[in-house]
Amino acid sequence: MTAGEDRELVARFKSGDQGAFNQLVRLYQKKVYLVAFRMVRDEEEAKDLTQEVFVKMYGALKDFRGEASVFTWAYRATVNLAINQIRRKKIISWVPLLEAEEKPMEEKEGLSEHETSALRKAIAEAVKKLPPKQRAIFILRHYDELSNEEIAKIVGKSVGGVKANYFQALQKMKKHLAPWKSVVTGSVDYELR
Amino acid sequence: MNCDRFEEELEKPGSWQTTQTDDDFTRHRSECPICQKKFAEYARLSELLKSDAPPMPDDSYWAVFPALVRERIESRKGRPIWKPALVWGSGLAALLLVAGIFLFQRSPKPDLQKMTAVEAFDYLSASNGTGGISLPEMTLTSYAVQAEDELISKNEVDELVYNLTEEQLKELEERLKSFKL
Repeated sequence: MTAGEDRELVARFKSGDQGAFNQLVRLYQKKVYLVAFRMVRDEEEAKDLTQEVFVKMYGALKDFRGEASVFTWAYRATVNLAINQIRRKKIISWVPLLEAEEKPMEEKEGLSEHETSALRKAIAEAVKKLPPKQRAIFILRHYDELSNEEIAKIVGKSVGGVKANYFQALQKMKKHLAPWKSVVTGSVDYELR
Repeated sequence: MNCDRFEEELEKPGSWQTTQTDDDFTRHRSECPICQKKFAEYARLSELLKSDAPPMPDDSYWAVFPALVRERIESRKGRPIWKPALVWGSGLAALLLVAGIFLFQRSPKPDLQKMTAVEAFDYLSASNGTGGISLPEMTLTSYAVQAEDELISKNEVDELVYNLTEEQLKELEERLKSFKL
């Protein structure tokens, strides 16, 4: 989907074609969900957040002037809503919350079920330790492979700021996952956390 | 050795998995032991992170997803007052209110207004049969959302930018700390 096609869908929506909005939702729903999940690390919250992004988009598209692409808009809304959600949870964390249910993951070749689950937990913990905006930058750069320029537009930072944050995030991830490094190289000399 | 020139290239997620990068970088990487080590580290990290596949809802969920979004949009638009459901709902609410007043008079309860959210949580968790759903938590969360929306509405920014400033975040924290049911 090109920015031109996006703009055409937006134009159709603004002229009253409600089906064009559905098409936009279908185009971005999975991408938005993946970013949302990686940010909040909870399936139900991510689904809810994804719906919320498109509800916001529905209201905002009426004033869309095409200065940013719909794609940038959607990612920006996702990241901002997720950051707010993370902050909100942090603020009210003194009220007992139910622990998020651990979801099964695809087993990694050569790892037992227990090890795979422990690895997933370690990755989730490592991601959660990143400050919210750094977390967003890491996810967009690493998983979505967006350029520094695109990420800068989404998170509202300079390109230099994005690079610096991504570098810091990488170093932290490497540090947090250091005990697991040898797992993927085949050595048995590793410890489970 | 000009490693700095290639530092950014090394950090690109794509370059850890593919050799389709520029020739200079490939040559440098094959000759420089420092960059080789860094490359190997990033490649291992990338391999580890690949294990973290998010749980993806199935296709049936995505098929109805636009309808779910529509439903949420409609639910926020508000409904006309002549809807029969609303009339029945109002009647039921009035009935419950009368019943509530009657029950309240028969057995006086502690004053929730004077409790902190945590005390109220303990009290209500012990007394209501909500099947594990903590009422104060829900109330506090909706209060937090409402307070946050109020603060954000003061920001004159793009409609899709909802970030609170540091000052607003502090104000929100203060409001939540002094929140009472």
